[in-house]
Amino acid sequence: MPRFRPSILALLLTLALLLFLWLPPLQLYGEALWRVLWHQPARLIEALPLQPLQRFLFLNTLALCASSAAFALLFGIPVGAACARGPHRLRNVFTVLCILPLALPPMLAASAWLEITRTPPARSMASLAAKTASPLPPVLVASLVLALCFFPIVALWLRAVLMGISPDIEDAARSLGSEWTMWQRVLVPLLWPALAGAMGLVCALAMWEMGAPDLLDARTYSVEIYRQLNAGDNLDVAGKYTKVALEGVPMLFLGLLALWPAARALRRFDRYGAATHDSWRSDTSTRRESRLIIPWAVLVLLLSPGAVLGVFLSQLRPLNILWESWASNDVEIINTMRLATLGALFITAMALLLVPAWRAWPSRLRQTALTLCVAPLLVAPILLGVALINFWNRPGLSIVYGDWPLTGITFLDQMQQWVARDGMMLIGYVARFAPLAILLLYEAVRRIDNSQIEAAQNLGANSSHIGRTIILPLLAPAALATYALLWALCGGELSTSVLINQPGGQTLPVPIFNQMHIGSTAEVAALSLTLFALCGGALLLATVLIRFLLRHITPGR
Amino acid sequence: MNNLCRIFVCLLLSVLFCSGCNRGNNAGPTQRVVLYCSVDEVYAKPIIKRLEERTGLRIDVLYDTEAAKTAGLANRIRAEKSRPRGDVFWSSALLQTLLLSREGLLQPYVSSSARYIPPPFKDSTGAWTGLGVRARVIVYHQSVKNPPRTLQDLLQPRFKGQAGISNPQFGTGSDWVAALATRQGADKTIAYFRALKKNDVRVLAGNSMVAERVARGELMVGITDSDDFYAQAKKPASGIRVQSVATNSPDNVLVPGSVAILKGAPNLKAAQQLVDALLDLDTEDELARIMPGVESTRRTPQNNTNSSFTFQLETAPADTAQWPASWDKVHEPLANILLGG
Repeated sequence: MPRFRPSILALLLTLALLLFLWLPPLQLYGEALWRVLWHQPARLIEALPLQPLQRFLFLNTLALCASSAAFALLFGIPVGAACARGPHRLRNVFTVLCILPLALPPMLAASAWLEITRTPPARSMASLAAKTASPLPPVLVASLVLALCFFPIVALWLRAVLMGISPDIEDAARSLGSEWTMWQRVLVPLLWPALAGAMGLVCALAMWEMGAPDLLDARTYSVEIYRQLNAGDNLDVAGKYTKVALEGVPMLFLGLLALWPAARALRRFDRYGAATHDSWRSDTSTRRESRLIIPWAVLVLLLSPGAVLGVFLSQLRPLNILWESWASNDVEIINTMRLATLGALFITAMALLLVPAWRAWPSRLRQTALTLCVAPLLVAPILLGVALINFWNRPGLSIVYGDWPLTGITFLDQMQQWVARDGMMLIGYVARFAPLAILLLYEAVRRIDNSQIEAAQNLGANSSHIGRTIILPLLAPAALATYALLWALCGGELSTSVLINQPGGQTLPVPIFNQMHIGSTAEVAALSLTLFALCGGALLLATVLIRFLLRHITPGR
Repeated sequence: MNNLCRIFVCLLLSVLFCSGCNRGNNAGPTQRVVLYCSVDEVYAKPIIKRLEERTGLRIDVLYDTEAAKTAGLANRIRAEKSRPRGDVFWSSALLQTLLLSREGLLQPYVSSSARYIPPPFKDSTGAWTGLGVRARVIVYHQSVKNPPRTLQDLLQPRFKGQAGISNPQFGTGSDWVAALATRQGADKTIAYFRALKKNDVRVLAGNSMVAERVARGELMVGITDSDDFYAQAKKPASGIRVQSVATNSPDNVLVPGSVAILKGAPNLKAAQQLVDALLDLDTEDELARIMPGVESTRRTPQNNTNSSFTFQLETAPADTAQWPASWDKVHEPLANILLGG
């Protein structure tokens, strides 16, 4: 890496971000630990899955994680293979369709599932008795639904790895042995770390998800913590936070267990997946295996997003329910657009400011900064919501709630109302998604070709000029992709928002989640389609712009 | 690259501009009031929009989710007690309002609009005032022969695994439990729920889910709210039926909704204005009209909209003041009985 002058600003910004990300969860757990150790050490046992309810939740969560990962693998492999090795003209179509489920918040898929699996109402005692036994346990159903939303992680990761493997290696292996030997000796060892990493990520996401398991009656840690938090018991606020913090401890360990293979896979990624082989780009032949995988991939994509959207579209009766739902939820739609735009913009800008500056740092410091910035991903979103309320809702800090007196000056008073409405939500988005943005942009920065930067340095360009004219253009596609992904994630965020949203600042997922429980299907369908159109539109627009950037703007292409 | 950057920035600015154009920003200077509302969003929204037009207030609302009904917002009020951010609490139930009142988190206000609300449905000091009443009802699927008439009937072996109730930690489920414990004692109530659990009762996330499952025939019987029964009964092919409970029976529980001003409300004047408007007879009538199964506390022959099922408001026991104490005794044992793995 070329040497730049260390920037004090970057150091301070990194420190500020680390404090911002770490202090709320540390305070939550610190206070809980202090309270328990000081007053009731026996309660430490609540952090272990030993009591019947805890054991039940632990096993349920574990089962949800494992089966979600298995289903995601089952759905993701054929789609990923179709994106990389399918008929040449269809690869882009497969890739675009594969991206769309990422814009589908799992609770929407859960709602569609409930609608599909609903049997006609029973009319007689005999049919009533026949309906009583549910054929599938809720955890299995929930994992199937979650896999339908998360399989693109497996598919896209697999696609990237497959595109990075030289076809010459495969051809050589094929010429020396059978097709089976080629898979066994060449492809599987190369693919396995990526698959394990993607499975780990799916496990973690499934464990953190609250909306879909709640709708499908699957009792997991996230669902139970949400209910505990809102239960009408006699605990004071501090006691309640202690209780949920202790109950959430196994989630930290499960998260670590799940994300470890993902981290390892990412580190190994550049050994085989740093570059896309041009031979694959120009390869227009359809591989033999595609005859098997294409029908399976088509089936998966027909299920998600196909069937999910189909269910919602079929429920739009009468059609004007769409306009009516927009009219009655105008504030929520506007809030979603505003908050997702601001949140994604702020997080991307912050990551763009920080991560390229780390290039000048010594390798060990850079790795430490990255690890510390990404580690808060381990905190489950529902606990993050609790931690944020616990941290920010106090004298001196509650300025983020717009807690300052009205001044009579219009601009300042408008600002106060804006902060009161949006402040906590933006903080929640940053706390939840900044680690992800940093991770994505770090990988992009790592792949920048140093020769251009060194050449510019030799010509006397200063670091700001290099950043503006070389690094930023090279990072533009990754930044745009990060921005779009963050937009979709912020727009569909529920687990943290449901706890921290402020009066007048409610986003669309919250009323959708609410109305799903009430059972108003047409309104839910209309709002779900709206949310999907917003998030999916952001991703598709970004895909188009990235292709444009890669073809016309990025130097070296 | 520069052109693209410009396009990108313009795109962002236009999105921000459009998203900034909401009702608050172009309506000129208006008095803001923050309403914490646990009434179903779909019913509350049109009423709130009309109140905004009528009063000129800008009402920023925070709704509760169905799964955390009322208790979620009440906990939030508790968490914010040192720096209250809400002005008015409009609850679809009463128990949490009573608990908040006991904790000194409500600001008494006797609204002139509440003059004709009967005493059982309001607090004498003005800490809370009732708005709309619903009943706890036994619902059953149409194919059930000899439907249950009392809560004890739900313990029959034929309903094993076939009866549903909402989680009693939330919403009107907790009011129901508190009322039962007040009338028949904590021990008897706990014993009843233990027997119910032994009969494999299904504890669902909300009353609407209980009604929906019974309507679809996924459960034979259930206990739910009258408004949730009506919401399902109006659907085509719904198989839900309701059982009238004898008015003198301890099973007959009426749960009033409630309106209260929060102590330390940042916008007190506007809060009082909003409470007056909410408790207005027209508002309550509108609530009863759009939310079948909810009755006006000031029911008159003109506003009695529910023809197939009537509440006996006159016979409502005035025992709500004892609900918090009864709740203290039963909630924890009940949580262990019903929700233990």
